[in-house]
Amino acid sequence: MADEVQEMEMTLRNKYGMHVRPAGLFAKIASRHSSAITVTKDGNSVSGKSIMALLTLEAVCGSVLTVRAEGPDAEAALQDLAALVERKFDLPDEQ
Amino acid sequence: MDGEERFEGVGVSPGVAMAPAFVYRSAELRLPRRTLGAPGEAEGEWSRLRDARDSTARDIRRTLVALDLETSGGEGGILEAHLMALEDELFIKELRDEIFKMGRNAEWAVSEVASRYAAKLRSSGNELLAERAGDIDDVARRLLQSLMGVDSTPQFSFEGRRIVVAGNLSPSETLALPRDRVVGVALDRGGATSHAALLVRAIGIPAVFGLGNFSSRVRSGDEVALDGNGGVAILSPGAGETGRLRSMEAERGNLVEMARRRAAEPAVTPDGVEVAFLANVENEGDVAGIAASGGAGVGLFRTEYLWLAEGRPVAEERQAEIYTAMARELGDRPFAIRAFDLGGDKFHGSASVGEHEANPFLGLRSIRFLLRNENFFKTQIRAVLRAGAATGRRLDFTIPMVSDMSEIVKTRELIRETADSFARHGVECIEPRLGIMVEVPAAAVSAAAFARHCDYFSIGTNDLAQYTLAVDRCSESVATLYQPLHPAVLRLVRGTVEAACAASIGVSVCGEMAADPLSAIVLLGLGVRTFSMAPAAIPLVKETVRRVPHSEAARVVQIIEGAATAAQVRHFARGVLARFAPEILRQC
Repeated sequence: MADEVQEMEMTLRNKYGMHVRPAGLFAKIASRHSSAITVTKDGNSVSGKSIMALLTLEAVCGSVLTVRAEGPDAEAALQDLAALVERKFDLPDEQ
Repeated sequence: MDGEERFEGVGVSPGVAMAPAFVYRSAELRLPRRTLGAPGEAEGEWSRLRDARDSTARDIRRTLVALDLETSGGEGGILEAHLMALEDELFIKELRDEIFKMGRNAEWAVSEVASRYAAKLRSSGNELLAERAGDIDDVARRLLQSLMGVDSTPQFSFEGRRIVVAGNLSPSETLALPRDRVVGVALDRGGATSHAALLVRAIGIPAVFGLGNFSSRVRSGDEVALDGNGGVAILSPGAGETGRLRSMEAERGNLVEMARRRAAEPAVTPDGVEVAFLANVENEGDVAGIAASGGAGVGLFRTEYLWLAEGRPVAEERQAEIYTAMARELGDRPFAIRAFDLGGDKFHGSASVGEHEANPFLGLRSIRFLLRNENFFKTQIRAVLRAGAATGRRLDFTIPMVSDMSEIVKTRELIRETADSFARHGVECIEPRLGIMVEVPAAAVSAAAFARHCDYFSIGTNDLAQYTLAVDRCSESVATLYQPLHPAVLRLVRGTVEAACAASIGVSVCGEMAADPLSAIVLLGLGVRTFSMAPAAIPLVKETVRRVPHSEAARVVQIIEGAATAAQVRHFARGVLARFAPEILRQC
């Protein structure tokens, strides 16, 4: 079975941007999927499963991330991640 | 009054505190910087760094578990992120490169890599993102402290009750506040949404942040007053300005003091119903202080802490030593050992427990995990039997998260088998009483049937509420729905108590709910006669029991029949407390 490749743009809406805690939540959800996940911003691409790599994107509220998933559960991965970003990472002080 | 100075800030946690200040400053770490030369030196540094990383991760896991058990908030989340950072492959690779490619010693490597990340966030040109760069510093600091053998616990070295005053507190520093002695927190920086604020609210002490240069104006020992509602800190408060605060403070102090003085006395309601108090403990050392707090024994020994402290399974021999020493110290007082309660989200990152599960709270945890890993479970059963044989007393052995009758039956079989094999080797065992945690709704609903197969019930209200309400108590987004006083939860408690009474077996409540005076009234009314809680909470709850007639508390049974919301139950309990112990209510 061929792996799917999917890509989606996500806009960060939480107040403080991609700091340690949201990065951790993003990496945690990404790691639950077997697909390889890459996040790109301004030409800089990093692994979506690494909390530290995500920090290097310097993404702030309003930044647009291109998230690419490659693997058997690519679609589910993107949906879960988009939902997380959409919910502002469920962080109560960043809504 | 002369010398009084007011500082306006943001009240981030309500309440009033008046006490001498303790001015806290993070210890300066003097980092050794060395270029590596000798062959094999890099390997040595790398291995030091890995050890430091492992021990830091263990510390964090331990704290995470403590939080899970102690609070219903989601403040463990930031620590979980710290843990992920420590275990991040990219981070580890960069540290490795600093050592092997740049030839730098471990401390230098950590500070170099961490400052690169922090600098990125700080230079992002976005103030909000920059504000959160402190987390990286916090992780680096933990690692460095571990590397340098500096006690990684922040030093809050003071006696008596103090208000902690600081420039800022990192999450780990906030978590390390000695909760029995800190009565308030005043910070120069930070706001209502900072990590420190979330944590302080969870601890439940008044706090005012954003006070400008307060910490540089205060010296340790200076009198400070905090009004967490008004967002004001007062240095050297005068009588006129703070009379009201002082009288409230005094009332609190008197109440606590009086409750402590009477801690060892029995707790009997005015209409003659006696309630027994036991202690929840996490390690061997906790046993010594139980009697002074008013605990008649141990109602819950959370043995998973042994695993956490070591970061791996604890050998049978070591377990037997610990259980025996504790049983000896307790003499003939109750001693309930709870089987390893592993799994759920408590062991994030620990490869030894379970496969990855989408719903760990509904997965292979607690007794399910133990019965799946029988050999491991048997080390604990053998250790408990050995402690019983060594001390010649009957112990209590509680199994967590029982949902199916077979789990009780199977555990009983394992105990019998093990006891038989001991007997064949000439060791006579006293089999422990076997109890179950009632914390899954199925166990509460089937309590009458389960009661025929076990010797006692221990109601775990944290999980019972979580599973009954289908609310993850660690999730901030649904935190307001986590209500242990929900009538649905209380009906299950009531049913469990009735089933235990009908079967003439013991029943206690050991969730954190018992430690809150308002909830304790409700539990008393529902027929609970044994409470187990953190030792520090015992005196005030005992005092509550002494004030409130059982007949009044028992009206809760009618209330929950008709009530639909936790708020109604709370309203009832507040009303009872207002009539019989208004000064305790003011502290709730």
